Amino acid sequence: MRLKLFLMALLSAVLPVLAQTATLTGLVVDGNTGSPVGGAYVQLRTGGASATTSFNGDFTLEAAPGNDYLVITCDGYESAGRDVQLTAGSNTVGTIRLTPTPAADYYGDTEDLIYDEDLLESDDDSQQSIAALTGSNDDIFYNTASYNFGPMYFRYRGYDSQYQAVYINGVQMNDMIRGRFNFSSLLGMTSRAFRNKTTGIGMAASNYGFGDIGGQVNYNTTTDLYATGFNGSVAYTNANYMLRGMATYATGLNRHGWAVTVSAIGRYAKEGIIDGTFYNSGGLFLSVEKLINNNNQLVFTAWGGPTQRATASATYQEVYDLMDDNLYNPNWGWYQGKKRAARVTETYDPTAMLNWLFKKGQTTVNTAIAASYNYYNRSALQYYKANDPNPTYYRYLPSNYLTDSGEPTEQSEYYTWLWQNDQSFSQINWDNLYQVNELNNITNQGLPQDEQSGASYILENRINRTLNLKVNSYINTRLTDKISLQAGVSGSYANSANFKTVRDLLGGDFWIDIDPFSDRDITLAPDNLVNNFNYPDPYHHRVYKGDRFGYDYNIRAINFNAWLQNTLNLPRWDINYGFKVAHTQYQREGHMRNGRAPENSYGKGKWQVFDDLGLKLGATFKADGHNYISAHFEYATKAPLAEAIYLMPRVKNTVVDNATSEGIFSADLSYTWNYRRFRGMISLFGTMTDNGIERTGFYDDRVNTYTYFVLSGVKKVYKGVELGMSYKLTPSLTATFAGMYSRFQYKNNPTGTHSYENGLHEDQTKTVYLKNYYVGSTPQFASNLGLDWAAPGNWFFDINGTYTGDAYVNLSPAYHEQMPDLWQSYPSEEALTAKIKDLAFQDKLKNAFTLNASIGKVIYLNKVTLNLNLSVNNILNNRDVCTYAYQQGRVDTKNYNRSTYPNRYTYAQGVRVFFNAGIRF
Amino acid sequence: MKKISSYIPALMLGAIALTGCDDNWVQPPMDVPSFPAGTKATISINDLKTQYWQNSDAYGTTVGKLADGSDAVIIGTIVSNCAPGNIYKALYLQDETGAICIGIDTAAVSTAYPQGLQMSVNVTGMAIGRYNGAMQLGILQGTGVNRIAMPELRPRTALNFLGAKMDTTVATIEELNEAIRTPEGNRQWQGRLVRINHIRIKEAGEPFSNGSTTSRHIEDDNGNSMILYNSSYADFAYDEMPYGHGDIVAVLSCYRTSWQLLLNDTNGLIDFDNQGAPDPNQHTLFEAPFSKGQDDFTVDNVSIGSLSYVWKFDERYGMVASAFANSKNNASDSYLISPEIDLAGETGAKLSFSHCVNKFSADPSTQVSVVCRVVGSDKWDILTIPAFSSNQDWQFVDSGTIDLGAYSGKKIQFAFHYTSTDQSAGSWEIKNVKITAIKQQ
Repeated sequence: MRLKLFLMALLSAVLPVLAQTATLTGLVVDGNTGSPVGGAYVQLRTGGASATTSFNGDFTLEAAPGNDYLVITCDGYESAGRDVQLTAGSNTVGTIRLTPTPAADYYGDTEDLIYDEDLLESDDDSQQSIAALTGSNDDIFYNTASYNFGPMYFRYRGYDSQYQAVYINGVQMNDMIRGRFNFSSLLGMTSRAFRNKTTGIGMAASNYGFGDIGGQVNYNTTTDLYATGFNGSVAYTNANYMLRGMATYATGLNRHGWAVTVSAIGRYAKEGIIDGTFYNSGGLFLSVEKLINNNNQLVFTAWGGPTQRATASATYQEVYDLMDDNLYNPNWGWYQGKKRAARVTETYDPTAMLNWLFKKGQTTVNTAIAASYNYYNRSALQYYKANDPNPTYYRYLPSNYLTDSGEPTEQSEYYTWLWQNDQSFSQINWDNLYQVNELNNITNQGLPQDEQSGASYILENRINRTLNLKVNSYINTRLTDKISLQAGVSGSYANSANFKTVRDLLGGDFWIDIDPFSDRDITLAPDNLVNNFNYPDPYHHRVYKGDRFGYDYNIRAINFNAWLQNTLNLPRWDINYGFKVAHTQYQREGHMRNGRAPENSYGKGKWQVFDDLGLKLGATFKADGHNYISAHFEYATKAPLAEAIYLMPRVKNTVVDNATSEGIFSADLSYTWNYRRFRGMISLFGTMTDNGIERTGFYDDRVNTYTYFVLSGVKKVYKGVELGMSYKLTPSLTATFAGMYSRFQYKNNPTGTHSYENGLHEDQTKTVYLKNYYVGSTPQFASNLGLDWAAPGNWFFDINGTYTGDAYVNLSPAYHEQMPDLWQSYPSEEALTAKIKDLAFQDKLKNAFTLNASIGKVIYLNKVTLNLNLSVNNILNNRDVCTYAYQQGRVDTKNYNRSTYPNRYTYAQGVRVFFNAGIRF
Repeated sequence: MKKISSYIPALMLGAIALTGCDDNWVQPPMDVPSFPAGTKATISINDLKTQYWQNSDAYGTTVGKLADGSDAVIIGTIVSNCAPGNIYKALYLQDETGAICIGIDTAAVSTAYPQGLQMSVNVTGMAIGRYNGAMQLGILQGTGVNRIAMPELRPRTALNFLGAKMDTTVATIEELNEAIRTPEGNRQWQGRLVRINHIRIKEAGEPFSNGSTTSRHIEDDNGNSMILYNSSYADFAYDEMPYGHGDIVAVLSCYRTSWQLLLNDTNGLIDFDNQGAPDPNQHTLFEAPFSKGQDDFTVDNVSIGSLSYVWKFDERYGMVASAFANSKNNASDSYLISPEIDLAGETGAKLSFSHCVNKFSADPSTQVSVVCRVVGSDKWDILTIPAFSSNQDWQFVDSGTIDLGAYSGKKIQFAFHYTSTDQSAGSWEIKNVKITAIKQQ
């Protein structure tokens, strides 16, 4: 019976509309920002017809002709109404601006208080959570995922951040080499300068770009969208930084058509929550607009600022346990009475953009040119023919001195004592590094030039410097009252320079630029030592502070793409479909003739070319104004990342054999209900990516060299169910639940290629048995239960608990290959099978529970608004929340003991407090 | 609102369908050696041995081709493991019919040919011979069989990981000792990995090796025994051999007319029940070696007539009591008394020493004794010395253990009591006095 009804409903949707009917269309936008409001409920009070707005803010209603009153309600906005006179045929109410509620306004202000990008960026280059996709008003699951699952390194639908498209004023800003958007380039200004944004979740359509399977966000910095006046805040937190100050001033549009918005931010910590770290960051933002006439508008936006911060890195559980501190940081040591950091990250990403907005009738064209410069430097200790300066080197750990059966020995107990009592041992011993270097200087005296040895220890800069140029234009136009069209074209160019420089010789006279890893093989292949044959004396080339050394290459990327999308808004159906074509090409240019690949390292390599397409289809069936079902499909190919296709970019131009674009197929199905008190959505999603390429690198003991491991032909499946719902217990008290259960897995046995940096071994290709293993370091189930109270007197209270789990350690492919010598240590089928199973085991992380709460107050005084907020995350001070873990790449091929090279872990901090005081006038 | 109730379960069902099924982690397959196609045995090990058998030790003979002109290829399972060092430069290969030793000139035999794998060897052109009863394959050097070098052996062999069978044949000492007497029995058993159940090691508690290659013995409850032959190079050479009854799995090698069991490693000693083992809390409570003096003992001469002493320390013989002086027997009565020994918290104290009696005219046990008293008492209890030397020569013997259990918890002194008469005044020599006891928990 139900099925019949459903079929009838389907039919009624496609049958031609009867002539006696009136059609009403309109557009719902945010009163502050002008962004379209999707998911708003519109209803005719008398006629009863209702609809929900699409992503574009559009709605279409059908009703009998006559006078009526249209009511628009949407969570987060004050309700609005409009008298309408309906005549047979087409009618429109034009644009309806909704005013955000004080609560929505308040939570917009606190957006970046809950967490910010600094907590989410790991030192190991590996991870960035979904931070880029914050804030979407109407999707409960998505909101919770951003704010409450994000700190657990939750990745939306398990995707890597390269599957999320981030736009600023319609220009896609994802890094062309690394795929992801560098969220920290927004300098922490997300609650103010980058406050105006439109988010599309999953494969939802958007009117500024084709997007990606992980969703898309567009930050809109059009000057006149900022609330006129001054907005300033100071904040204290006990995280990576301690203090933050922020100020914004917007003139609003003056009568000459000019508007200016300026903003500044500063963040500072002498020492962060993690020992030996510091934080200095400042940023400026400028947006200038000239309204030329009613149709044309120019907007210039520029922002940027330097950040310098010291970072920790993931290390072994043994070390955390020894120090009884899961936030232990091995990257600092005492020097001249002060804590000195070895790992300092310096970034500077100035960006400038000029947008020309053309609006005429139902058509908007947004054309932009943009340039950005990304400077990223990470310092690190380097050493040659000397002891490893890292205090967590395995020979400095007590476990290295246990008996075979794991019993402590006198030595292991001594090392334990040292770890717990001697900071010159448990941290970097700078004095020792200087001493060793000075001894070298003394020894060198009187020696012939080419017998002198360089510094044993230096601090190096690992620099990545990219220039990006982009042009982009998109159009959003309404062809009829039911059909709209979006399309865009863009071209981008990136030139990324990668090299090392000497940051500090640490008292040494000079550094000899040869490859430390190749030293062991000097008798077999002396040329392998050479980093650059173009040096006058390549075996003894000396470098000094500021000089480039080690590696030096550029990667250039060029990308063109075009997309077209058509959307239909019918009374019962919203349908969109679109396609995209893209062309991507990469080229490496080496500036050194490397001794390990003298024929293939210097100069320009071949362009690697990838042509891609994408198809997208979405449909929403509106059973009535309160219930609707949506489905999305996408098929696309995606060019591999430049950083993945080169086997050893630091050394040579060689690329992965048969590097092809990744194939992506994704589908989801969701049901949404939207009642005055109870609303929510449940979704099923399934995504398959095939032919992916992944690259990792590690020091391989078996062959005594740094090894790159490229996986190609990787197939993964991401599938699961998401549920988000909220129930208004009273008009001001809302209970919210969000939960997700999913599986993110490898689904085939891809090909793995080992490349050995010392050049002594041929590249080796083998099958890697990964089928059904988990994509690591993201929870595969997550749940959150929260209670929000917008109390009288503009008080805001929120309490919520988050429970996440089923996260696995990022696996190392080397454990999943056939091991030709293993049988010799396990010479029976039973023992061998058991050992293979043991080695291939993927460790699971502990499930985590955190409790969070916040309290806020907004005070309106005449024209001044004061805003106070205190939020406390992880109130129970759970110090056992593991956010990220990876298995070391190398395998112990002497004893085949998994614990020889243990996993590395990163933990979240305990209680985190954020207090913010803001003023607006 | 009604609709929610129907949509949600449908989606939930879909979710279950999406997240179920085929989820086991795929392990990398084993990467193991296997025989090249067509590898097969052309002769059984027993047939090979029979063909080249000599009843006495023989010089080496080169193994020829088979009657049909093909090479002689044997296939068996490697049952020996030389990594622990007890078996040295040798490999024992066993098939259903028998087993043979291959001498290989490398100490790392098991690295190339690990125990438990199937191995094929083309033996045509290798030498076979019998030396000191043991049959061996190798190469001909002069007229004897010598160990074959790895580079020569390797091309003759192939390994197969899967399909190997580590058969251990269960046998009794009796039947094996019977079998070695006939050539057939000898050929059938020699070199095999055998399991002998329910035996004990005669020298339990002692190390496998005493510093050189050492023959220990296993025996069954019927008194049958067999040599357990241990190398001092074995990594377990100085481990203590287990007490009690258990089973043994070892390679049955041959030396002249008797078997010698060769352990691969100590896993070959199975489920020993530890009966008769000393209590782990047993410790040496008191020691007086009498090697440098009379230690803390005191002498109480009850009557020594005209003699100036009865007890005297001698570097070679320890404490010596003798009343033979001036070329005649003299009457005497003298105690050599120990210091006070506290048996508080101790049980099962046992006294033992080495001693020698000689030149007594009467039964020495009527003239010398060990006595004991509780400190504070004057009354000596006389204790029985289980064993005396022959009274014919100067050979020391072990006294056997003298039970001091009756004195548990008390503070005691014991004494060596020497008496002599005009007719009989022999010598009593004592060394290595020791009291062991078990500390109470």
